[in-house]
Amino acid sequence: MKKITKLLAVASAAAMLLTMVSCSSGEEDFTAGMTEEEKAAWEAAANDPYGKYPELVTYTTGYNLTNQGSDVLAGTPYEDDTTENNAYTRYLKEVLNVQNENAFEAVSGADYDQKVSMAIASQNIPDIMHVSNYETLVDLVESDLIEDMTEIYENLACDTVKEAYASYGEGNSPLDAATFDGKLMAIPKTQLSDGQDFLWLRKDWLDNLKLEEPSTLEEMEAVLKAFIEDDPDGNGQDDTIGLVVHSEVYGDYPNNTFAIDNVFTALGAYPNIWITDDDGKAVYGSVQEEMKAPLELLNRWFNEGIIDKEFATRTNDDIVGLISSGKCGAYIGPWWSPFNQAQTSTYASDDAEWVNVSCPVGDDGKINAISTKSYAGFVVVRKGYEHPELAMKIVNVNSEYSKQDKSDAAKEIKENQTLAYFNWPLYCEVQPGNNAELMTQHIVDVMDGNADESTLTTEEQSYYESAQRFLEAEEAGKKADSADYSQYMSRMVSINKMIDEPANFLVPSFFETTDSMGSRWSSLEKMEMETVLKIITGEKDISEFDSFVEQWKSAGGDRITEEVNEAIAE
Amino acid sequence: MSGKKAAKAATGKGGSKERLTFHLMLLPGMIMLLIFVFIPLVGSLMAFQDYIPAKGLFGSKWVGWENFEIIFSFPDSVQVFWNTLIIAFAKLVFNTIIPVFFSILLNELGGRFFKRTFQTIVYLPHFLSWVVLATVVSNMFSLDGPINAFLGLFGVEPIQFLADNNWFRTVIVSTDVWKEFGYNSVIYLAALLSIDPGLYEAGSIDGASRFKQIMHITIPSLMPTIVLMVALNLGNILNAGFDQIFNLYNPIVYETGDIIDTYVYRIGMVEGQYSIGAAVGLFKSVISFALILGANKMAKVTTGSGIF
Amino acid sequence: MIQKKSFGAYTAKVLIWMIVILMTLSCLLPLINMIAISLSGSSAVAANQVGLLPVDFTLTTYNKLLKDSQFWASFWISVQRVVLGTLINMFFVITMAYPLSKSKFRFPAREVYIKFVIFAMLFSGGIIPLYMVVSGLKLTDTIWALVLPGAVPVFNVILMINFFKSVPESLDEAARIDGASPLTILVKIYLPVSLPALATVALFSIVGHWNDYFSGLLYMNKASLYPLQTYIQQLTVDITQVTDAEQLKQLSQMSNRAFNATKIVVSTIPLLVIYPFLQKYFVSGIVIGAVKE
Repeated sequence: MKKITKLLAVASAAAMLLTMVSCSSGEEDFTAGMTEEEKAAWEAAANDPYGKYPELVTYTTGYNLTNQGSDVLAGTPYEDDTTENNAYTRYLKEVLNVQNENAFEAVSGADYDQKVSMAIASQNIPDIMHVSNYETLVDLVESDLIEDMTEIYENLACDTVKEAYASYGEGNSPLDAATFDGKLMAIPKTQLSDGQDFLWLRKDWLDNLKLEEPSTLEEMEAVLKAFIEDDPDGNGQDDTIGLVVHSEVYGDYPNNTFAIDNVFTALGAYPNIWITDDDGKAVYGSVQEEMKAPLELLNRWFNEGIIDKEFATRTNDDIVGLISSGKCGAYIGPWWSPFNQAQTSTYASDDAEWVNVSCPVGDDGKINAISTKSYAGFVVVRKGYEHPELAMKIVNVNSEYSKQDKSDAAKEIKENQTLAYFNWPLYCEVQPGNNAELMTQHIVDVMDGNADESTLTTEEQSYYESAQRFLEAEEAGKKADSADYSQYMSRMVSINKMIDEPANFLVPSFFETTDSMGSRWSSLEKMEMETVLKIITGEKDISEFDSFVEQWKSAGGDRITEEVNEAIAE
Repeated sequence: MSGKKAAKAATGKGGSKERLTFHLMLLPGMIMLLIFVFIPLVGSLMAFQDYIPAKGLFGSKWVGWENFEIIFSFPDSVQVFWNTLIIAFAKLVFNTIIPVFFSILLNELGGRFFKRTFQTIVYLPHFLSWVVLATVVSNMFSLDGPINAFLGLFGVEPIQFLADNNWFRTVIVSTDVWKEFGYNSVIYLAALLSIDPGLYEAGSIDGASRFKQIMHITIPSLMPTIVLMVALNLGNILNAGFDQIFNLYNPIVYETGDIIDTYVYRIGMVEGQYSIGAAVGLFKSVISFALILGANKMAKVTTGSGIF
Repeated sequence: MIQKKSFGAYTAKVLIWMIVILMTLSCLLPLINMIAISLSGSSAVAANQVGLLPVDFTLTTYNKLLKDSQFWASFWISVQRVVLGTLINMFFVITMAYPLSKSKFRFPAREVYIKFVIFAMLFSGGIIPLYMVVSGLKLTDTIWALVLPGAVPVFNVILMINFFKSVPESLDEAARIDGASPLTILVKIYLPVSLPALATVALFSIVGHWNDYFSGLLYMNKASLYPLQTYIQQLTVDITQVTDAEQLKQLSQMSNRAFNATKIVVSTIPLLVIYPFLQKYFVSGIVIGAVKE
């Protein structure tokens, strides 16, 4: 008997695999059998940005977890919370009367993306979910598996959300990416502008050697040289190295801490991105003439030991180790670098002081930075789901309502943000591109006495409190908690510098992939990285850059460039 | 000869009953293989498609051999293929010799306590992942690391082992052997224990030295196991160790260290390249299958019995 | 003459001891390093200052771990999986290897079966179709998803075939003449003499099940159902690659190397315990000679 059941199961699995019919169920009418009054109540809820449903609405979704481990909740009132019953889901239930039921859950990033692929491949996507890749969105649209959100967005998006999208500017709106043939097919999650990278230096070393904060490439070189040769830590030993460099050298600006894109951009080269040339055509930055100057410079720096001789083989842990152990006092990184253990550990154990400087700058005295794309993911609704507007309403609550709400429930959310184990269901917050700067400005206003503390949002409030704790500890001559140190240094010091010393931002002309890229890009990238690293380490002469460019073009680079230009023209 | 005898025994009623029992014994296992290996094999078809998950296997476009053409048209396909073969082959050789050597040495030690303790300790590195060990290895081989310090005693200039195409493969193979030799020796230790002690007794009565006993008794007795393991591992000849290389390589050593799996991984970084991955997988499987069948033939010719 | 020989034997013994001890030490040191890291303060760890002894000794990471209820839940899932998975593996190894170890004269169909088995070892359809089969059978989020897809460990089956082949045929024949059924022969004669081989194969299964993190990730849609290695694996993250504001908020609490080392140490201990236990069978299995008596 058991065997027969098994065989049947096998047969059905086989049949499923062979047919793979799209099982999009038609629109189910859930209002059947309701009185007019009930229908009206549902109708009203569906057409109000914050309308509470008359009855509990349960939606299936994919849940993004953090990589923290549930131990961060141990000993807190949230110990027994689950992904279907936590501060966020309880809040949504209270405000909208909705409850999530997780079809799957995984740590955001590769793990979650894999779950999404599996759900799509088995033609079984949840009612509402977050997808992080543009390519996945395109597949879903082309296969007609998701709802058109155009009208829902028009009717229901709250002002905060609409303004936030608008803040990215005409040509770079996140909505554009989610629009296909004039129809908005998803609610895009915004990607905050991460600002420019800074050169982070040990302030105490600068002081020891009586050096000024550098700004140009030449000044940067002089400081780095002094850091190597003049015993900045005063221990009488020749044991310091210059600038640490990420083994990938550049790319993913500015998220790749330790990468040195700024050295390239200071000399007018924009590696690893698509830029617009003088004729208005899109070209790939890594194969332009401008690359030669920075490569030659880096080769000289490598030979003179100004950049870490072993950079190609360092893991991130190695680099953090060099900085933490006081062997290195210079690296390039974004505004949140104080969160990196490289800084927190030196803060906790040494008398290290860090300072971020705008360096190296280009000809006009500003850092040349690269803009990130304006979207970080998309919320999609399964075709045929009876409450498609729910997705928009949750994003509203998440992006606007919860921030202004001062109820106890909203406080719970704030506490959970610091515990950082759960995320909002749908994993989508819509924020203006310069949100980090805006928040800092609000906090500065409060600190300067120009505004009242009650004007802060819940998130701003937690940063404000952190900053207060840090300043109090410093005043008392004690070491602050390292989390407070990180918050203060990032939010108050380095973001303030971003505001005071703005950079030039170049918007790449193209962010996505084209058809040929899929199969050929990694081969071209390999060629590129091999050449760049070998030129820097002196294994290849700079003259070989030209032959690399030729090879790059003939091995598919030209074809991809054409495809990119066609894609932009569309 | 024994085959003939057995064949005789197998004829007649007893034999067919026995065969029926054998079929029944194999049935559950074959069902499991059918469900979890052969049915999913339908998925290999995506190697001949431009597979898009949302469209499913039969909604995606058929492209014939295009994916294979793409793979072989990469300017560096040959290089990557050779790197894989060379590294995997060197690993195969040394991951056999060293564990056999170690098992024999360990077997020579008196004292059960020490023997067992050593055995347990050497099998531990197997459980540390390469993500963790990469830091240990890169520190060991760094310019101011212990290996260079040691070589410095003999006046050797410091070498950046992990950024030197003359050294990279050596480091990869030797660290892999170091990590796995304990675990790999488990099977040889088990084989050593099943050697008939009578053979050694006879050996010592004949006055053969311990070394001679090893050469003439121990190693020949291990030979079938060695042949078996080598032949089985030939099926892995296109797997040169993704986790290890991925965590230790860098663009400077691409030319000696980039292998099929790291290559495919980087292709996969560009979203949705299922078909290319499937094509490479199919290619690897076909080669492995041919190699294993070949190894079996070889084993049959050289030792008189195949591995399966 | 006699003295010279024993001197040679003595040097050889010393040499062997030295080599074995050196090799063993080389394996022990990274582990001691790992333990030292797990017991050290996070600043010292970040600065790569920890060698073989803990620096700024602390038990915080162990304390934290003991409070992590998911760690223990996952630990328990892994234990169940290992027990169930290994039993299933052993069942298939034995039931498949025994008939397949017979010669083609005695069991002609083996030639066909074995081709299928080898084929199954080397070809795979990739994860998507496998996932669809597993979810089609409604196995996702159950322990069966962790043990059934790999129920037949083909590599181990082939190992076992070869061990069974090396059992002297005379034993088998004698029993058959006495009228014993194939199953009786398997249980009464083959299994007892194959204990070292069975212990080896069981060890491979145990280690394989314990260490596998991917199937947990693939088939478990609830993080609370992850086996231990899946749980641990997803906690190990790269601090320097931040891609969005959400992650940024989490940065201040990033799990550090010391904590990860602790998790590795704790998750390796069970395998340390199991091995000496199986070693017992390695020794008690040397009975091939004894049976002949």
